[in-house]
Amino acid sequence: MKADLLKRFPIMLGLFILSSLLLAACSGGEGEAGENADGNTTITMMHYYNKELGEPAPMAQLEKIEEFEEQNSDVIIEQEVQSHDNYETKVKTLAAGNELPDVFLIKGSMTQQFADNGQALLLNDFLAEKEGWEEQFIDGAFTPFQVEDEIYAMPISGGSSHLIYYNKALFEEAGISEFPSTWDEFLGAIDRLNESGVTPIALGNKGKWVLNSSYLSTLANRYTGSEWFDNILAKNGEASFTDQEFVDALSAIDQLANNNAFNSNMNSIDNSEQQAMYMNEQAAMFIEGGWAAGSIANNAPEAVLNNTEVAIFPEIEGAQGEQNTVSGGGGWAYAINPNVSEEKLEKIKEFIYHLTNQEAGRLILEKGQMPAVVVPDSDEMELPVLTRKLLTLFEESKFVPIYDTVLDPALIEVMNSNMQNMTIDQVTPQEAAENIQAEYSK
Amino acid sequence: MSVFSSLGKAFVNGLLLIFSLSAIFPIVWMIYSSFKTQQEFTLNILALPEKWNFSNYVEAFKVGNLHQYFFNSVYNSVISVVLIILLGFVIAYMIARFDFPGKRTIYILFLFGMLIPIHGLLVPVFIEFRNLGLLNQPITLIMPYVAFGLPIVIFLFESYIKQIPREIDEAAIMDGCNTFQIIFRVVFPVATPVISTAIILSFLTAWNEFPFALVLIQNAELRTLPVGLTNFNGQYTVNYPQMMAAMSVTVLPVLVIYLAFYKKIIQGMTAGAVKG
Repeated sequence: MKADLLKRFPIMLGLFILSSLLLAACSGGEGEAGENADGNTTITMMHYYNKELGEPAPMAQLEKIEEFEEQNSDVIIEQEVQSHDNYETKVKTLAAGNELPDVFLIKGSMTQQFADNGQALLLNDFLAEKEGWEEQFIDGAFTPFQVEDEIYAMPISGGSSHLIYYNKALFEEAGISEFPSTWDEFLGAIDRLNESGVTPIALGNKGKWVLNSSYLSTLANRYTGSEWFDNILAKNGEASFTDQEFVDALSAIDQLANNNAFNSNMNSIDNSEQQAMYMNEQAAMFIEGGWAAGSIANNAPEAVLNNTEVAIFPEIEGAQGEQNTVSGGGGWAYAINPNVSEEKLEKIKEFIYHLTNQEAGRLILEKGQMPAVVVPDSDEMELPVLTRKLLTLFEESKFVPIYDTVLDPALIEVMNSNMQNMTIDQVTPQEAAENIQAEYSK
Repeated sequence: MSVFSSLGKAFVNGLLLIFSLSAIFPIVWMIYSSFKTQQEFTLNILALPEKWNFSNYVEAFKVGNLHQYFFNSVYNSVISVVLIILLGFVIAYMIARFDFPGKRTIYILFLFGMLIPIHGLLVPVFIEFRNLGLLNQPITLIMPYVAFGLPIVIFLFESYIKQIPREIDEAAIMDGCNTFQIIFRVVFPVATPVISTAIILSFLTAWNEFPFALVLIQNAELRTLPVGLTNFNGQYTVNYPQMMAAMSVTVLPVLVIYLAFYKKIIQGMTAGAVKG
């Protein structure tokens, strides 16, 4: 009995392995989809645009994709849709397995990696092919997708990561008639708001990125200027995070915390809860990116929406950078798989142009988000009230890089944790700067 | 019964009650939140819905393509669980009852499966599947689920079968059973409690599995619920009430499976405690 089984066991095992291999062989993968038999071109594409969610830029892009298919009956766009958070995981896995689709989206922080691995096509020549196209993009739109002068992806939407949304009715109640124009006045306004019994600024820094993306990226640039940051990026030893200018920027944020500008539970609520505080009129301001405008427009009570105005950090006296800067221009951009065939590449270029030209930009703007291109005659467009306010504001300001779209993720992590600790007085701005520098110089 | 001891009892029970409520509340909150509008949810996260609207459920099925994902999840989990239990039981029985060369090695290799972090295997498995042409097939997910489900199940079964007296097997042989019959008609029924545990464990794991389902499947028609649930997350907006509706639908099968099998586990714990 036992011996019987022992004899049979290896045979069974062998059969099992054999059958599973056969099964695998039978269900072989499909070949490379390219020119199909009927002369159609299939372009594979991966993105995170979910039409049911109704987010502005994705909706606009989906319309443009459909339009392109209608105009080019010989092209089939095969789309794989993942949710935004999953998209990043998936695209990195596909890159590791060398299975990237023809067209895909990358974030600024991925540019270096994709460029190093030769997994994104160089786009400088393509940009030059279309007359005047490159000039149509807003300043700094390409920065996150560049390695030195080489451009690896086509930006879609711009938008800022810093914007102060404020409730002018609550400002008036506190005796403030217009938004402060200098940093000192801003601090004075915070005291007044505190006296009037509202939280001056709702902050939800549980995810740690708000203070970095929406505060520091803009504030630090005002103190240090852009040249300092370029040196940081270039790692040429000309700049360090312990430089007085950068420490001053951290101190400015620390000062806000010390002046009770924020709610006491700032580290246990997230950015959607900071918006909720603002919508419930518990706070007079909140500071987040341009993307929050959509959420305010959709979810805020009528009274709050009508009283909402937008601003950027006021001028800081004595700081050495330009004083009308806003961090922005991040987001996602289209990259092209370098392994596509010549004929297909022509079609793909047309496709990308269709998705990123001024017409596509206009549609994004109509839906209420800032595109990466300058839209001509935008004054005559019918726009949501808040979008119009944003547009007016940005006409006078200049975009500078968002820290977490261009710096190394490990460094960002250290920055974020140190800033969070700074707001609860665990570290001084000086110590935080030293910790950041220690990670940077590793 | 003095007054003190009954007071003490009341106090302890009160504590336990508070603890239970704190564990149950999130589920209750999820269910009633699924009836709120997004604005209601944003403005007050804990309040009860002003009126019960079912539109989130309708939307959830539309946005999340829930019915399709639901079917896929059930299909993957059920087939995986059946395979895990059958294969696991036979393997565990062989390891527990027979001595053959390399037995220890095989057992240890299986146990190693419990120590390997899944994330480290994502890319290698993805590349392997791509080369074998196994991406995007109906059977794609079942293979890793079975492979990763086996170790813990074999570990449980093996230790349980060891405790079952060999005399039972011998009696079965005397009655003319072959090996197959011994396993499935004699030992299997005796091991019901541990099998229930294994079913709940492996079903939960397969039902909630996320990374493989994300990476190995490109085709939206083969997607499973955990990946489908993330469709409610946009870049800057999350439609929480809709997500809650979808999650309420998602936890149902898990509750059903648990309620169906947990009695068996408790029976199993006390089985044979009292010889009557």
